[in-house]
Amino acid sequence: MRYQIETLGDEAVIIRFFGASDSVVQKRILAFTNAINHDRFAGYMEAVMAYQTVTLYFTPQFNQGCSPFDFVQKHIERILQKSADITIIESKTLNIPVCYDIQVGSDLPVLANELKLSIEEIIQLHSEPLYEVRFIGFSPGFPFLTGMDERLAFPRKSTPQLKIPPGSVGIAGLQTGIYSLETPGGWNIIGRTPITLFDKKKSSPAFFKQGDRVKLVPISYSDFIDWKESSWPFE
Amino acid sequence: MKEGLYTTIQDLGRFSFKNIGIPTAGAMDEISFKLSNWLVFNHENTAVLECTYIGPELLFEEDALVAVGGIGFIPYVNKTEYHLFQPIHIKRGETLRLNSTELASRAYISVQGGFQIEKDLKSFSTYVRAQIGGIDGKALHKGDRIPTTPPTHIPKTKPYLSSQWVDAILCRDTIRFIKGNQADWFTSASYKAFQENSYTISPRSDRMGYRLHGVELIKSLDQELLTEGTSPGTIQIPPDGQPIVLMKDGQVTGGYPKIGTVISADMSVLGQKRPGDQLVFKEISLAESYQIKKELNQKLQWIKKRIELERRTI
Repeated sequence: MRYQIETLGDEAVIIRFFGASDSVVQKRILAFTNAINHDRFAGYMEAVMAYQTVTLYFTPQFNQGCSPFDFVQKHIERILQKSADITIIESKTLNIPVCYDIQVGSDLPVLANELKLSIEEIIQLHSEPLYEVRFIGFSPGFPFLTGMDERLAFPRKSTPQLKIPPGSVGIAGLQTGIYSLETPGGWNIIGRTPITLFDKKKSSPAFFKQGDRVKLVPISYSDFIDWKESSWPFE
Repeated sequence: MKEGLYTTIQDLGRFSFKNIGIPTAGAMDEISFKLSNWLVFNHENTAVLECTYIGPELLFEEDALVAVGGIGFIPYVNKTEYHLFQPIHIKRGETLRLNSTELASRAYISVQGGFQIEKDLKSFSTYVRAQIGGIDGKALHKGDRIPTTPPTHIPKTKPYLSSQWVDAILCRDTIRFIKGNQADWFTSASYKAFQENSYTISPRSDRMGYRLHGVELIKSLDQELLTEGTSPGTIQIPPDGQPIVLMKDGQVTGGYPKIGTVISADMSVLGQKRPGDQLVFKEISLAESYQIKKELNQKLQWIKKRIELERRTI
């Protein structure tokens, strides 16, 4: 596997992994992130994992005898050489209710039309796989799910929508995910879950964790309206 | 007494929660933020009020040493006018208000000793979208009360920072950036046009991001980016070709190609911009950005030392 270290402005770097299978890249990213969190460099703040990248945020250090970027790069390379260990993450399977109705999935008609599929076929294709939460990003608690059927791939909107309701299930390219808060966003919305994805009062504010397996369970619009967390079998 | 247009409690931001999607938040103009804290002899990461375009009116129920930093505001205590970036000893029962000029963007109201409130996820910064930080995770409302403490130190003379000194740092239209991770996805004509034309900040801009209007930027590669990390200052180009600069409440990951990232030293300049303002983007090297950062740090440390010489125990 190969990697390159790219700058993201002057206070962050992106480490991009490539030349290996998706699952190998995923494990490498996890191992590296664990390693750097235990072996920090001066000025290190935090790391954000994504599909093929880890982004590190730092305060530039001017007293290390080299440029702030060289200092960070040296540390990263040292860690990359010794963090080959594979970390196994514990995972659970969660049943997540999703209402695929045009009242809450406003882009279903457009997708059906462009993908030459019926709405029922979209629902079936989208609710069939066992997804995995690859990482949490975009907004607090937003899970990026991998495992979507390629027939559902559809590009982002050309202009982001200003307000997307929390719980909205969207598609962007080959990715699928769930909006956790009311935010702007460019994904195509095909449904909505009634669950709360982010609650700062909980000890783990994000509902999903990296590595969770997710089964999306279609529910009707009336069940969506009447849904109660206490009576839903999550696991 | 009055809440102002959009007033929130901010410090330097929230770190170590990006991995569950929580952005840094924090002061949009860190320079005015730090200066305001130094001027009342606070640690630089003390929580302050960030005011937007129209400031609040605050009744002080205790004596306080306050300072107002920013651009385009005139502070008044009762009927007395003060300078921006000037420590003001407010007596119990007096009212602070800010008059806005046509340049008013963001002001920072610091109080010696900070606010006696609890941190939320390790920071005071308000992130309204997820209702984290500040007071109940919201912008201030008329009637909110924020506990403060009476001052223990006051300045020896009546110092204030000259507006020329501050403007030299904060008032510029050229925003410098470092080339982005997907800059080569754009046609060379577009990459050139991005720097040769000015872009106007749209009214649909906020603490999350500034939407810009100008020459449409065209991709030469038709591909979708797999979501990856972003940072405040990241300039994303959605398919409509109109740039979006992510600000302090910006999402921690994004899937639009990044043409560049604004250098950290210019983020405060950007934080003081208003809808309708025009920006010109200029690419610089990473080495240049560190030189600029270093010089800025030195300037700020110099003024910090000058301010500390004014400290006198009551």
